[in-house]
Amino acid sequence: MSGAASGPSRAPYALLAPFVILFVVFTLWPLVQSVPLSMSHTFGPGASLHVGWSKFSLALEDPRFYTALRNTLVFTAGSVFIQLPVALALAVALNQPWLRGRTLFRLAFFAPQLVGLVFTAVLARVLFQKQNGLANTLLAEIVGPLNSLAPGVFPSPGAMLETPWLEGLALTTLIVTALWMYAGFNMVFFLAALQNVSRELEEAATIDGAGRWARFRHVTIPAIRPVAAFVVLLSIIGSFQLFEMPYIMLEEGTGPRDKGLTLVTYLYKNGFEAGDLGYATAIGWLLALLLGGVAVAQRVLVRDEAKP
Amino acid sequence: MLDRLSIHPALRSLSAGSAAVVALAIISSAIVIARGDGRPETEATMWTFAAPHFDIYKPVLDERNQTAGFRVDLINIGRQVMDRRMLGGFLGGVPTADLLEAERSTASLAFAGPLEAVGFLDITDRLEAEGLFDEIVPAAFSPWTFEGRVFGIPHDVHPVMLGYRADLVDAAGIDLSRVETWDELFAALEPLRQDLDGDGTIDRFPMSLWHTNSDMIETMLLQGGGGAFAADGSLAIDRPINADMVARMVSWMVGPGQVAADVPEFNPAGTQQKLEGRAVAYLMPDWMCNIWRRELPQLHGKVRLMPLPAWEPGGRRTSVWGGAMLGIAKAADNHDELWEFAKFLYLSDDLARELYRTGDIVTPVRSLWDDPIFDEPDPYFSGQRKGRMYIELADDVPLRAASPFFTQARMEVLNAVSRLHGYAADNGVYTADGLRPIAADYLRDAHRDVQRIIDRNAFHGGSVAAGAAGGAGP
Repeated sequence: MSGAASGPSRAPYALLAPFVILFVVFTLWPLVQSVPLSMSHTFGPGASLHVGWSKFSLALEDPRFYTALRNTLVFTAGSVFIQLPVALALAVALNQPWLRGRTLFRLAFFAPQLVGLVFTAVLARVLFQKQNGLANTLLAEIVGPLNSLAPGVFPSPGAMLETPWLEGLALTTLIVTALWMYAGFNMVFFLAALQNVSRELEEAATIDGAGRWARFRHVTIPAIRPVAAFVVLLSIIGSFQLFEMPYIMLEEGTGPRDKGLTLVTYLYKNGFEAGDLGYATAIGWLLALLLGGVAVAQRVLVRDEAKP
Repeated sequence: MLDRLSIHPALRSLSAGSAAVVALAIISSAIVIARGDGRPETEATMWTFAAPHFDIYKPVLDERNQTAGFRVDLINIGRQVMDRRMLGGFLGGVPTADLLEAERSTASLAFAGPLEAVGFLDITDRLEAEGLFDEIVPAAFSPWTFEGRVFGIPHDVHPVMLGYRADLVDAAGIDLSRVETWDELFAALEPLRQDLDGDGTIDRFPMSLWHTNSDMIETMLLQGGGGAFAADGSLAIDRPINADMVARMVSWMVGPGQVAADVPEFNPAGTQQKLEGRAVAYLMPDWMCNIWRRELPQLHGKVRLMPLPAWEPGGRRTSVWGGAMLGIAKAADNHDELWEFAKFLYLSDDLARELYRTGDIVTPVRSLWDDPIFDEPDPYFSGQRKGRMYIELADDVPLRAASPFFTQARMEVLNAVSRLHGYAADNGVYTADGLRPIAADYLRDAHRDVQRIIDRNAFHGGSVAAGAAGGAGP
């Protein structure tokens, strides 16, 4: 048999091999290994004790795990119920043909993505500092004149400079920073979807007497639903993976009183600061199960909604 | 000739662009492999985590490598990379440097397993044999001592003094020379607690101390004889002495009589606030002097140092903040040569002088304290003989027990302090007496949470191991 004759049947495998090898070595094998690891107390391969399901039961009894879960859920809610509507509103606004400088606005809203998450988080940390952070300086500038108009009604500028964005308000600050970071990113998905909405359908609805809101409600929203469902899922998964932002922005990566502790930060702290890789892996598996449940629920909901 | 080359049909079908990408990948890989890592040929490698340390050691090592038979290559890899790579090496057996200069939180990672699994070489017997336990301040060994064994040569002792804005204090006609306690300090500095812009809010406070800064809180607790761990290494967060100090510290941070302010360390916002005089006094370990000198040149000659005010009259006038050690990787070859090199680097008089000259750090080696360099007046610190002042406090530095649970304990103590701050602010309780019972409750919670972590550690706590262990032991 000639080389040319046997070649085509082997070539796809050869071309797939680099990916498959890397996937097996760096993803599949560690994933398989993580199952026994989550049932071990370990300090390297030389010092490992099998502890059964105790790491999982520890997580379910651990108040800090629930704090991390609650914070992550609040952040996720912020992403889905604040960030995505803002992204959609931006997309709708920037999809108007009469708006001048649309490209510039699109670029401006997308810009945080260009500089990257770490840089954005570093910048946000500076912006939200007490005393001389831009956010508090702005608040102080605003309440200054208000105080002279209505003395005693508003806090003093000095008090506004002490607004604890990175302390008691850590979670709010993370949501605001994520809004800054990701609203423009999600806007791009919505924008692409909006540009594919059938003009004929919109015109037909207009002829039938549908107003602007009715058209948006009954034509645009159904048309962009698949993209919206995808963006929602992406946002939920991304929110559950929140780590870099609090790690960079908050003191000790969690903020005081665990105000900004997230599930992945807690996983990291257990695995790499406490040295309890087994517990960290158990948290990882619980997170994976949670995300799997969210994905299944979301698919079921979208499928049900799509039914006539 | 080219016609005779057998080119696979799949490759023949590649577009020009794809072929270019493949060719580029092959060529660049070949270049990378051929170049190697560009490091010089040496007998050993050392990692450090701090750029200032690197700057001090590098010229000395370069000179030594010219003549010495045992050459060492120095690499600054940063603290977080050091954490990851050291832990990866110790846990997974992948290569690390032969010598690792680690700070406290990094070293504590190595102590999370059983004693025999610590990746650093146990140097207790070598220290004993060469009389170095008598030579070096005992407190300097404590963070690197685990279950009675020592795993690193101390780099420093890091006594803490109080640095204050002499320009502001002198202008207000305040004399701090007779201040002995924290309460006396705040009383003396009361005239400087000022609303500078007249908006009804205090803008200048006597001291920089905040409930979100774990280093500061730990420094204060250690000074007063408290801290997360007792001298024997057992967890002791819920000690009454901790509750008392935490209540007093939080009372300084809240209410109309607030005397402590949040001036962040190591960021531009904090630097600006220091320049503006947001706080008058600051906790100042020896190494911090160097940071001020570099980042706040505008304050040259405007800063003065004094021993920390004590918690109670007659109490300890210093504490400790930070610290590093040089450990030898157990997996390294040439332990004897590495030991000799470690002693050369950390215990020689040349290096001690250089460490002070360029890093403001006083050596923990007692026999080197007579060096005249420590008596030189420092113009940045108003001409004070700063080195001698730190040295005079060095023997009084509190011990810090090494623990694999150091990071979690520190975090939980900080949470308790922050909770208490929130409680005080929300409920208008501003006195130490009012806060003490709440502090005790919160510290008990913190103690319980860390104890739970200890209990679930099969190597150190035992309950998980005792209840469920069924696998192979180490």
